[in-house]
Amino acid sequence: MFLSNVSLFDFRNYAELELPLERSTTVLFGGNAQGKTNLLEAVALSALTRSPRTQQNAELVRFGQQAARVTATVQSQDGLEQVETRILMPPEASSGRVLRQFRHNGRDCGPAGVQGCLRVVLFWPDDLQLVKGPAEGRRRLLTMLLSQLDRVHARWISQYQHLLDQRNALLRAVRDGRQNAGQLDYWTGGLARVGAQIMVDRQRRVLELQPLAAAFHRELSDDRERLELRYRPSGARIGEAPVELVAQQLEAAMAAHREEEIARGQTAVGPQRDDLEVWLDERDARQFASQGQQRSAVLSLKLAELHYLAEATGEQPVLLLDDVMSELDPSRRERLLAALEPGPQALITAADLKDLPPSVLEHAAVFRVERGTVHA
Amino acid sequence: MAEIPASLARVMEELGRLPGIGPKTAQRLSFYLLRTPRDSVERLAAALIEVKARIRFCADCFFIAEAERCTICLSGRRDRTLLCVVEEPLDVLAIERTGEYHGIYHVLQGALSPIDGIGPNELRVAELLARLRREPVSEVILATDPDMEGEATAAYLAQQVGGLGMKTSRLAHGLPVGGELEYADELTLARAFSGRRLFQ
Ligand SMILES: Nc1ncnc2c1ncn2[C@@H]1O[C@H](COP(=O)(O)OP(=O)(O)OP(=O)(O)O)[C@@H](O)[C@H]1O
Ligand SMILES: [Mg+2]
Ligand SMILES: [Zn+2]
Repeated sequence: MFLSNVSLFDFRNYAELELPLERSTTVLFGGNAQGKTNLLEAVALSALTRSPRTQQNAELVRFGQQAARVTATVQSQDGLEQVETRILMPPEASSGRVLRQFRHNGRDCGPAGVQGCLRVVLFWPDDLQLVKGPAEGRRRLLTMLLSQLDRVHARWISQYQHLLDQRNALLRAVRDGRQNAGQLDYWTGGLARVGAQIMVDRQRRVLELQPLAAAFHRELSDDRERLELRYRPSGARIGEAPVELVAQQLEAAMAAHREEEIARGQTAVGPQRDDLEVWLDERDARQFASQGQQRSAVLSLKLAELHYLAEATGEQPVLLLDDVMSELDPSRRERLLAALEPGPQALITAADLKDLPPSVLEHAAVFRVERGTVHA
Repeated sequence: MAEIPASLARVMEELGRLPGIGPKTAQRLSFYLLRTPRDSVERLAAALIEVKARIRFCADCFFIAEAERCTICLSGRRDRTLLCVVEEPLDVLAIERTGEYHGIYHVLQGALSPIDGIGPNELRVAELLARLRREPVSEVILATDPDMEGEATAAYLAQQVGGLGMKTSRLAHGLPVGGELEYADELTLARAFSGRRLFQ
């Protein structure tokens, strides 16, 4: 698939932008804080229905404005599709929530109506902490990948988040004596059922992602290192267990942690606590991996994501590379660039054109990003 | 700079308090009313005052009523062994439109939602249980919305009602998951009634 146009209105530091894109590589360069990442974020938002950068939707609306709009036009196997995302601020002085609205080909729909029209793989400086950083980053990788492959998974994720917010609010209310602990069960059951679905999906996909990541890592390490991905579900042992059994395990684990959950006002187990560990040669990379090993592992994971999405859908996703070329040494950079060869459309940002090899610039459409505008 | 006259500002302020109406919409509505002929504005004002004076919530089921009890509770033709629990008065209207159901109702006036500080005490749950103890109900149909709050509320009520020894059932069939009862079409809702399943 390829992104043929991006149109922004009051999104981050963009007042208005109309950017037609070519199937070939697009390079966006410019100084700090000019809007390069913001633009890639807008593309990722169109694919994921949420920003990969923030949970606070209000941040996406240009300062002082009431609504932001992002429209992505995508050319895929299914023809030309338009995905429109709007973020609406609540009226001033009201305590309402920030709203997200979606349109598919000009027609109103829910998030599920736009999911899967555009698929992206995002690689940005945050990812360099993927291996050793907090588990949240690794969970986000799984959620981004799985939601783009499977609308039902995306729905489980948003239902789970909603139920989790309700249950955590209830735990705090119980702790503070505002509500009775007896009600907890009615939220626990639903949460465990949805959580189990997420975990079973994660387990299956990690098993499929694993050989791809391992193969890339073997290549990057000149056949020296064995990379392994280990999914660590929180509060359940999955194996071959059917969803119902996983749900029962989760429910039992929540019951076992009840005192602690009430004291902390937080649900103690479930997919929000999962981890995806990266192991190198039978050792947990979080503890010992060098900078170089981490970089190879991250790059392997990203290449695996790219290939997995392409294989599973029969279509190349759009690759978003934010400022990572300068972070990679020449050989890793070569490997990443090789992935661009046969295939995916890429949007690449850099602070300076000098950070990009001539082989990329030669065939790319190059734009300068400057204070929320983009020009040739 | 010209100031907005106090009388107009008051209208904007009052309209802006309504749910779903922000300051911009409040302004637009206020100016619309200024352009509207006097008699239709008077009709609107009179209708608001009258509805507030005449309509209240039924003392038994909390559906809308023009007297102490609603017309459904007062009717001699309803099956008083069947009681259907819903979230909002609008849900009663939706179910009545199907023509499939001839029992009585109980309107909770909301659903459990800890985020909004709503627990059983904020709903008409105690009133429901008191009614079930004194009235000859044999089956309670839990028709809360098929969304997450509605499901949790139904599960909670099933437990509470179960203790009283009557049958409980749940509307399920064909209702869109995550939807609101009020928006389900008549046929789907009618099928949901005939296909209701017993709560375990
Ligand atoms: N809601 C918003 N309204 C207006 N401006 C915003 C908003 N959110 C972020 N910005 C501005 O956008 C700028 C950051 O843009 P962005 O992250 O795209 O920079 P960048 O070009 O990627 O820079 P760098 O090279 O440093 O990564 C900041 O100056 C920030 O103040
Ligand atoms: Mg940036
Ligand atoms: Zn009544």
